[in-house]
Amino acid sequence: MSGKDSFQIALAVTSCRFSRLILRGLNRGGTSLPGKLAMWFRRDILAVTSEGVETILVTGTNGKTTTAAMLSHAMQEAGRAPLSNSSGANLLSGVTAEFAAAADLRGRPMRWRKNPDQPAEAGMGSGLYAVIECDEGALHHVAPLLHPRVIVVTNIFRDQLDRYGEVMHTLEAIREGIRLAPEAVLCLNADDSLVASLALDVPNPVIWFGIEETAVQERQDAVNTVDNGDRRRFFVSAGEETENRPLSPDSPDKISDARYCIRCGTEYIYRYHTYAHLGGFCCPSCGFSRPLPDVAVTSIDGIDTGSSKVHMRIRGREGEIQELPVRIALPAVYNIYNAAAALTAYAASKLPLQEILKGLEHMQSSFGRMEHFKIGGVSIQMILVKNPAGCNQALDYLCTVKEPCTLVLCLNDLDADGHDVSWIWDVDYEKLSGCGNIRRILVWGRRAEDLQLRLKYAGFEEKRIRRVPEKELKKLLDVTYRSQVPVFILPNYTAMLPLRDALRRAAGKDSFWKG
Amino acid sequence: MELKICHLYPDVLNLYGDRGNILCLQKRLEWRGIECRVDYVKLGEQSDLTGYDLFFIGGGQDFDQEILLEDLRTRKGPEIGAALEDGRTFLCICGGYQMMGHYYETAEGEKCEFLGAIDFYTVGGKKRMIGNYAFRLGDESGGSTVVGFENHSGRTRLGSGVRPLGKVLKGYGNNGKDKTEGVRYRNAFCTYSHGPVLPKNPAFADLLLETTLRRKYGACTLEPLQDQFENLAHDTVLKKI
Repeated sequence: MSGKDSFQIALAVTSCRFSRLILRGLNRGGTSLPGKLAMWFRRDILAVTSEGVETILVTGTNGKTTTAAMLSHAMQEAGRAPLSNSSGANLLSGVTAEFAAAADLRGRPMRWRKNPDQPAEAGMGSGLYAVIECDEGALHHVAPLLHPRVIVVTNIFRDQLDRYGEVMHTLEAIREGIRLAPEAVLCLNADDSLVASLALDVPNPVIWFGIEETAVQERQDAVNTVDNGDRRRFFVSAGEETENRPLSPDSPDKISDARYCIRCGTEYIYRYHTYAHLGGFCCPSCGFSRPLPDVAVTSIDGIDTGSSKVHMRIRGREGEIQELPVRIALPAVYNIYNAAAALTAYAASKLPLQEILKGLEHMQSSFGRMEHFKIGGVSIQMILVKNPAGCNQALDYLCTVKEPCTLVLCLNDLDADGHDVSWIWDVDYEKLSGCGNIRRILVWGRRAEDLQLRLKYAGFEEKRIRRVPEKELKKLLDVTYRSQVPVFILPNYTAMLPLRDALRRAAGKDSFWKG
Repeated sequence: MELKICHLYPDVLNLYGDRGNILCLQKRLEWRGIECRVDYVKLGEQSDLTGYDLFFIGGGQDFDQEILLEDLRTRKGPEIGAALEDGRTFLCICGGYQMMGHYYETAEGEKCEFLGAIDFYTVGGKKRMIGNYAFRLGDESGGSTVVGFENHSGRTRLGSGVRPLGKVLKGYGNNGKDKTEGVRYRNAFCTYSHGPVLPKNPAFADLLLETTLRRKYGACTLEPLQDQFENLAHDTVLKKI
C-alpha cells in the first residue's frame, strides 16, 4: 500500500469518526454525513474497511429492518458482536459510515467483537460479523464494495412510486446488485414470484424460504377451534363472507403487483395465498413456479399480540430434514416471513441454528416496528407503515386485537416518505370499519387531511375521526397519554421520527443510534 | 336511477390508488340514493361493453402495459371506440389516458400503436415529470380547479381537433411546455392526475356523474353533499404547490 493510500484511508476513517462524534454530541443521529465525508477522502473506503468481514446483507421492500434485527440480535446474544446499521441508514453513505467508524486508522476492521474467546471456527472464517440492511435502490452501489457472504431478499411490493418508480424498476435494481455479487449465497422468498425470478440466470447458490400451504390451512382450523364463532383474520380475505380465507386470485379489484408471469406474461395460477401476491404461484404456460423452500413454515400454531409460534421444516446441506418448533417474540404474519428469512440467512452463513432460534425467542422489536411503550399506564404500540402491503398487514394485525383501542394514523410526504401519498387508496382501511374494537381514530401529519378523507370513503363516520394539526404534536401526545385504552400508532417514516423520539423520552428509552 | 360503471383492466391498470376513483363515484352516488353497479372487465375477457354508462381506465406499469396492447387491439379496442363516440363517459388516467391516443413513441424511438380513439400522441422523454400539480378545467368541463399528483415521462401533444381538459396552474401537465393538461373529447375526460383524482376534487367527480346521468336520464341536478373533508384535502394540496 502506498503512502498516499494509507494517508487517504486514515483521513477517511478519522473524518468519519469525528463528524459522527460531533453530530451525536449535537444529538443528531449523524448517520449519513460521516459516510459521505469518508467517501470524499477515499471513494472505496467501504471495500477497505469491510475486508475480511463476514457480512449478511438484507434487502427487499418490507421487513429489512426487522430481519436484520433478528440476525444481529441472535449474533449478539451468541457473543459474535456483529456490526450493524440498526439506525436504518441503509444507503451507501450510511453503510460506509458504520464500517469506517468501526475501523482502525489503517482501515482494518477493529475487533469489535466483545468476546475474543468465541471460537472462530464455528461458522464463518474471520470471526468478524456484520448484518447490514440495504435499500433496494442502493444494492448495486453497496454490494460490489461490501462483498456480502449472504444476500437476503425479503419481498418486493409497490413502494413509494415517485422515489423508486415501478415495482419492476425495483426488481431490476436488485437484480443488478446481485449481478455484482456473484459469490454471495442468495436467501430468497420462494412465495414471491418477483423475488423468485432473481434466481434465474445467476451463478449464485440459492436457499429458499416460504410458508407452506399446510400452514395456511392449519391456521384456519386452529382459529376455528379456538375462536368458535369469532373468527379472526390472519390472512387477507377476499370478502366479508369469507373472512378467514386467504386473498382470492379471482377478486379483480384487489391489488396485485405480480399477476402475470414475469417470464412469459401468462396469468399465474395460485394454489394458495398468504398475503398480497405471496403464495403458491405457478405459470400454467411456461411452468415458472414457486420453488420448494429449504426453510418452510409448515404450521402456524398460534399468534397473539406479542408473539407467534410456528413449526419450520429445514432441509440441511446434505438433504437431511428436521422439523422444529420456532417461537418468535413478535406478532403478525409478516414477522413469520422475517423469521424464516433470518433462519435461512443463518443457515446460509453456516452458523449454529440454535443461536437464531434462541434469538427469535428473545427478540425485541426494533425502531418503530411493533415497538411497545408504556407511558403512565397506557400501553402504546408503534407500527411503521410505508406502503400498501405493509399497511394492510398492520391492519390485519389490528383486527386480531380484541380489546378496545385508540388508533393514531400519521402521514407525511417528505423526501424520505415519497411526495406521493396516493398509496393510502390502495390500503384496505375498509376492513377496519368492520372491527368493532376501535374506539376512536386520530390523524396527524403533513397529509392528515388526505388520511381523514380516505377514512371517510372507507366508511368511517366523520365525527369519529379527529384531525390534530401538524404543528400540534404536543396535543397529539397529550391525547395519546390520556387514553383509557391501548393505543396503536401507525406512522410513515418521517412522521415516526418525532413521535418515537417523544415516546422514547416519555418512556425513558435510548436514542436509536446508541443501539 | 342507476349507473353502470365499468372498470376496465383493473388487473393491470391499478397503480397509484386508482381504485379510489371508483370508490369515490360509488359513494357519491350512494349518498344521494342513486343505484350503482361496478363491473370489472379484465385482460383477456371478452365482455359486452354496450350496457355501461361510465368507463374508468387507470394507469399501469410498462411491463403490464405491453401485455395489454394485444388485448386492446384484438378484443376491446373497437368496442371502447364505439362507446366513446356514443357519448358514454370515460375517465382515463395516465397510462389509460395515453392508450386512447394514436401511439406512444419511446425515447429510443420505438413506436407502440395505441387505440387512436382520440386525436393525440405521446412521446417518451428522459426526465420524469413528477410532483403535486394543479390545473383549471375548461369552461365546458365546469371550470373548477383540480389538484393531483403527476408522474409520467411521456409528453403528450394534442391534435388540432381536440381540446385539453384544462390549463396547468402549477406543474407540468401534458408535456411541460404548452400549459395544457389532459384532453376532453365528447364525454371522455383524460388526465395525468392520479392521487386518486376524484376524492379530492368533488366538483370534478360530480361533473362526471352529472354528465353521465344527463345522457341517460335527460335533465339532472345532483343534490349537494357535505364536502368539508374533500375541500380541506383539496385546499391543503393547493397551498403546498
